[in-house]
Amino acid sequence: MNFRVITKLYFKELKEILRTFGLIVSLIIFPAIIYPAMLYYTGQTTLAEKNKVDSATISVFVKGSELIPNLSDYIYPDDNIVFLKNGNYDKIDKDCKLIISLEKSTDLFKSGYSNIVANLEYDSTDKYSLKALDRFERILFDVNKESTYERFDEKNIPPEIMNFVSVNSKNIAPPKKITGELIGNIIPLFLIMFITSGAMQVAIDITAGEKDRKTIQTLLISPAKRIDIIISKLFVVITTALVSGFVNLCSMYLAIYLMPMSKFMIKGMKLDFQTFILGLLVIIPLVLLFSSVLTAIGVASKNQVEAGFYTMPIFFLDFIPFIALSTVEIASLTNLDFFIPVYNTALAIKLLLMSSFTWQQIFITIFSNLIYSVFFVFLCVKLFSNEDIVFSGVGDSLFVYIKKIFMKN
Amino acid sequence: MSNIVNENNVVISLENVSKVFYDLKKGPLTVLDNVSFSCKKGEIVGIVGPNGAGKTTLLRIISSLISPTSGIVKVNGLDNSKYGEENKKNIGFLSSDTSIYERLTGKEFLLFFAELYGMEKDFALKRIDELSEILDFKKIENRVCKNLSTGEKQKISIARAMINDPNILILDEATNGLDILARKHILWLVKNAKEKGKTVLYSAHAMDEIEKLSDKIIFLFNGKLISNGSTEELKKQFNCDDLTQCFLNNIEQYEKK
Repeated sequence: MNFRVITKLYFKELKEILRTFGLIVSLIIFPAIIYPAMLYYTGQTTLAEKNKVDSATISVFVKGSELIPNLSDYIYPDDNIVFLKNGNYDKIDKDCKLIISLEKSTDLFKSGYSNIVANLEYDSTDKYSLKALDRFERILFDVNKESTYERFDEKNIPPEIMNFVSVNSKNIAPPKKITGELIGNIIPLFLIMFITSGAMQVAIDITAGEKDRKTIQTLLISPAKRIDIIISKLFVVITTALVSGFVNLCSMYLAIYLMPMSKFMIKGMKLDFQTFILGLLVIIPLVLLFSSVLTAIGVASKNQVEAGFYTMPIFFLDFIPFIALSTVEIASLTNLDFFIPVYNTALAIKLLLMSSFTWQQIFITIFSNLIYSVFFVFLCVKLFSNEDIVFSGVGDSLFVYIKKIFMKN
Repeated sequence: MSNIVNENNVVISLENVSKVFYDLKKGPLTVLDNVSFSCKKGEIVGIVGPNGAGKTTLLRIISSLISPTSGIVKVNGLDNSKYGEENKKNIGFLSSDTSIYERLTGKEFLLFFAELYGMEKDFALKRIDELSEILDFKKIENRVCKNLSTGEKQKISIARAMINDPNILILDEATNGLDILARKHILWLVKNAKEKGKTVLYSAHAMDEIEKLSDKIIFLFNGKLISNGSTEELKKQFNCDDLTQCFLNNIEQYEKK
């Protein structure tokens, strides 16, 4: 390998990318401006909507209110609940968000006591109706508690007798672990998604794109060795994937920072130096893996359209580990889980954020991804050295290869 | 090795070169079949043949872009199979498939290639200046290539093929699809190369161009070299005044065999 030639090729490719408006828009402008703006807008809108529902006065209709004459005494001022007194409401609409039907029950008839059944009708698709249900259940809980205490009191029985077990639960998870659990499912998903999208566009542009633009032959007639050409292209893909990941993470952090409701997340997101370095060590082999896979696909494709067909499923495959990640039980993880590409990195980042990792898990993640990357780098070099693939694509060559095997037999 | 070049003045030699591609439907496809010929220093060799005759494959093999299935190709006495990269330094290649990097300026594009050929930056810039004067693209050299006209792009392409001052020029249907003005630059390139004693391999569909420029003409048909000689020799051999008719007569004779 000639590093002087690799450097020349690398800077040429970078210069071209920096002059491609579409790539700059998708790699820098969208993540730096559009995504945070969208996140901020969505956050603010959600917050405003939540505040609106919380502060709204909600009307509810109670049938048989005479069964609990002092029901209105249980309403706190900030409950913002109003009982509809006139009319007869039988459905949830803009005027009535909850219908409560109180009926006498005969269950305790023999004991000389009476009790009441409350039937609550609500609309789960209406935020105000759900809010009314939430508030009214709290009211009924208080009614229930006070009435029960009164009955026990009448019989001179201490009310505490009701609780055979008194539960005192205490969350001992450190704040970092709690936040890590919360954001550990989101951060790896976004990070890997942005790294893939950054690497994908550039990998296609500088490999299959060269075939479309008919510049591949111009480059190949120069005395630069093919291995130097493909290695320089790989470095360019790695650089843009890292930049894309970094810019996107920064913009996401900024967007979350700007959202008032996410302030609690920022506290937990403060990374210590060790977590940062380990995170970087875990991510770099994955970037290398994605870059080499996508570059190999670009080289193997006949043109950019074909490359697009091949890379799109790779992009969607990224999401599969996250379905598993959100349901995974940390305690049941085995070392084998850390050999599964992409999933291992997502897991490792989550564990790093929760400070629950073992050194073995981190080592397996880094090492296995490096091994997979080496395989794909080797594949890139082999594909780029194959004249049929460089001038056309792997599709035909693969069929021809299979046909040749059968012809020999 | 270089003594062989000096003694015989042979710059390019091909011995029994064959190339087989594999087609999905047709199976093995022999695109070049035992082709042997040589080109001497300062010679302009025109390659004539219909589409699919193997002209592009032949020129790509000589330029070390692809390798032959069998046979030996030597450039300046050095075997392409061992010294392919070294041989590329002595070849300037131009075809309708060698486009320029449209996101770079003409100067950046040429400097990039000059540096790939191992030229120092200062020396490369002087060479670009020299070429821009000869080919008259000084005014446009700092413009991004995508904004250039076809003729201007062609000038930059020619300068790229000449940047390393190669002793061999290979032009594969380089005038295809070009207008009269852009074609003029290519014809100038060939004449200029001849004046400087360079060897030129030239393939085109325009028989008048080939006839006017070539010292030697090679007729290729179905991957085989069916005739080889100067324009006068071919005209005499096939008893006609027109090169196109010579080629058609040659095919007829070949098919009768």
